[in-house]
Parts: sequence; C-alpha cells; structure tokens
Amino acid sequence: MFDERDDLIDDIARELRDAFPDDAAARARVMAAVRRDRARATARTRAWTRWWGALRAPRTIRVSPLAALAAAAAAGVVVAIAPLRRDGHAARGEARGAPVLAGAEGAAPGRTQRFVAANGAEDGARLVQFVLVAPGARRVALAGDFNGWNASTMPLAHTRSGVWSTTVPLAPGRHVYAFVVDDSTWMPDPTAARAPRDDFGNPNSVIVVGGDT
Amino acid sequence: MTRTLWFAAAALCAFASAAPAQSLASRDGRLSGRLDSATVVRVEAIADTTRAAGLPTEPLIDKALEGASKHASPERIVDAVRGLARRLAVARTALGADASDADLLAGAGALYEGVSSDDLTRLRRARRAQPVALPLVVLADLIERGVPAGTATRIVLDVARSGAGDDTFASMRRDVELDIRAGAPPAIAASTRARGAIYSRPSLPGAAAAGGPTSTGEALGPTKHP
Repeated sequence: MFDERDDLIDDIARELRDAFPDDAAARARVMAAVRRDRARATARTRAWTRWWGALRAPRTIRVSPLAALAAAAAAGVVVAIAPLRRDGHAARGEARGAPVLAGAEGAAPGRTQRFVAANGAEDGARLVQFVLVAPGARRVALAGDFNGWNASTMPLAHTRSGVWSTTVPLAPGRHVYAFVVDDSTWMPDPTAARAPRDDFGNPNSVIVVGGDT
Repeated sequence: MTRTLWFAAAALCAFASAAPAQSLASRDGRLSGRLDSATVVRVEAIADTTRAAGLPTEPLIDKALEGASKHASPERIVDAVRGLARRLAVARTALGADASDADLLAGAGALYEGVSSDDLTRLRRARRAQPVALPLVVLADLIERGVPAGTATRIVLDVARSGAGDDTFASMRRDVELDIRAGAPPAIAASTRARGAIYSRPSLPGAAAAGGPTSTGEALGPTKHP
C-alpha cells in the first residue's frame, strides 16, 4: 500500500539531519549549556531549601504591649477602610489592570459598544468598558447602582469623533445603569439588555458581571 | 506575652466590629445628602424591615438614589423602594433561601415584568446549581422588547432545560435584539433564536428532551409545567 522508499519522506529526513550538524564543536556547546542550566537549577534549589528551613525553624518573638496594640490598631484600620475603598474608589474607575478584550459588538452612529474584561483582581471585579457613539453630545456620563446613580463621578472621555468611552471595574453581580447625555438626557445602552420598566420614567440597561450580556 | 496577645486580639475585634457600622453610616449619609429627611426615614424603615427578613438592602438604597438623581417625587421614590422590597421577598421565596443577591434582583425584575413566582421556581429547578441571574435578565429583556411574557417565559425555560449555559443565553439575547432591529416580529425572532440555541448544542440534550432533532418546533411549544 505504501512505497517504503518514498522520495518525499527521504527528503524530509535529509532536511532534518542537516538541521542538526553533528560536529564536535556543536556537541561541546550543547553540553556546556546543559551544565550551565544544571548549575542554575542546583543554586535555585539550595536557595529555596535555605528559605524553607528558615521559615520552618521556630522563633521567639518578643513584642512590647505598646507595639502589639499599635499593630492591632493598624490591622483594624485596614479592616475598616477596605469596604469604603470598594464602595468609593473602585466605583470611580481606578482600574488595576489593563483591560483584556473579551467580546465586542459593532459600533455605529448613535449606538454603544461594550467590552467585558477580566481584571484579575482578587475580589473578582471585572473591567467593563462603556462606549457611546453620540456625535452631537457635549458631555456624557455613566450613572448606575455602582456609583450611587451619581453621574458626576463617571464622565466618559471623548476618544474620537463622536465616540465617548470609560472603563470601570465592576463587582460580580447584576448592575443597572444608564448614560446621561449633556447633564439632562437619560438614555439606556442600546446594545445591552434592557432593565425592567423603570420606576421613574427613564429606561435603564442591565449587565450581569460574571456572565457577559 | 499571652496577655499581650489577648489584648491585641480584643483591640482587633473592636476595630473589625466597628467597620460595618462605619460602612452603614456612610450609606445613610448618601441618602441624607440626596433626599429630604422625611423620605430618608421612610426609605430606612423599609430597609430595616427588609434587613430583618434577611434580604439585601443595598438595592433599596440604590433605587432611592436613582429616584433622587432622576428628580422623582418623594412619594414615587418610596413606592418604588417598597415595591422592590416586596418583589425581593417574593423572589427569595421562589428561588430559595440560598439565592444570591444577583439572582434575587434579577428575579425581582422578572416579577416586575409579569413573570409568575412559579415560573421563577421552574427556572431555578431547570438550572439546577447554576445561577439564574442571566437567564432572568434575558427573560426581562425579551419582554421589554415586545415578546409576550408567556412566550418569553416558555422560551427561557426551554433553553434552560436544554442545559444551555450563560454564554448561550447571552448570545441568544444579542441575536434576538439584532433580528428585532432588522424588522423581525419579537416573538418570532425569540422563538427562532431559541430553537437555534437548543439545537446547536453539541449533545442536544434539550432536543432529546423535546422529542429529538427531527421534531422541529416541538422544543418551543407549550411547556408542560409539573
């Protein structure tokens, strides 16, 4: 069924042999590289063993009552401030990592475009980019349950002709939001899922972070 | 040394217990700055009752803040907050005590659109251990776009029973949106895209449940509710 002396296979075998010259100098270079790698690996293992031994060895730590109290107070301040940072700073869009584009929808005049990206943050927040194409707008802002519906905290930047954009980290969950154009006009994100009828006469959009809609 | 450690632990506990109180005070401050004092008292009373029932209260505060930002009247704000609290309670009963806040909020939204609490429970069962927030968001979106509530509910239940994941629901919603924008009647667009979502699944579990891939249209027929 197969020709045992296939010319094509012979050609490939010849090419492969030529790619690795078998001379003494080449062999010496390869062996030198192998020895270098082994020496580095041994050094890394020794350093790790030293560190691990130091970590496992019991230590007696002497702390004055005043120092212990100061440490406890510092830890308490951190515990107290953490929720405030999540509610305030994060909602104002302090991105902690470059957004990684995960999905996109085509933008057209008067339409919006949204990207959802994994942030890599420990609290599971994701970077969400909100884009509005509004050529006639003078100012565009984002308001939603993630910023207390306060449009002044999340203005969109005018990136190019008629395109407004901002990226904010959002915690996993369901978020309702809308755009505010020129400080007065509330409009939903045309390409996002619509929120149930609004109680206050303006339609909203909804996004589920952790499940891109 | 032992006494020092106890002292430090006690101090840490004191600071840790103060943290939630500070957060709560901050939230109340948000309301006070945006609403008149009488409305704040009424909203906080509803929030207290909701909290006592073990339901999330942050959505109620957010609803009040939304009303304030949109210059709604105090009466309308209180009505909206009260209505949301009531729907959250119904959603919790329908979805179970272990439902996440996102599931409860999405459930409350679906109830607002006329979906029954029994259908929320059916969706909860169909999704087994998976969250129901995204299917419920899709359900509310379909109804908002003009798909009759009964039809939209049947569609979402059938897609959920086929074993579809969140990504399938998300892409189905986008496709329906584009179809409607292109002029398709909402119910037909939703039915067609749901059928595609069910039959394009690799293992076709939903298709098998609906009678096999040859029985096109059966999967989206009237759902037999237990």
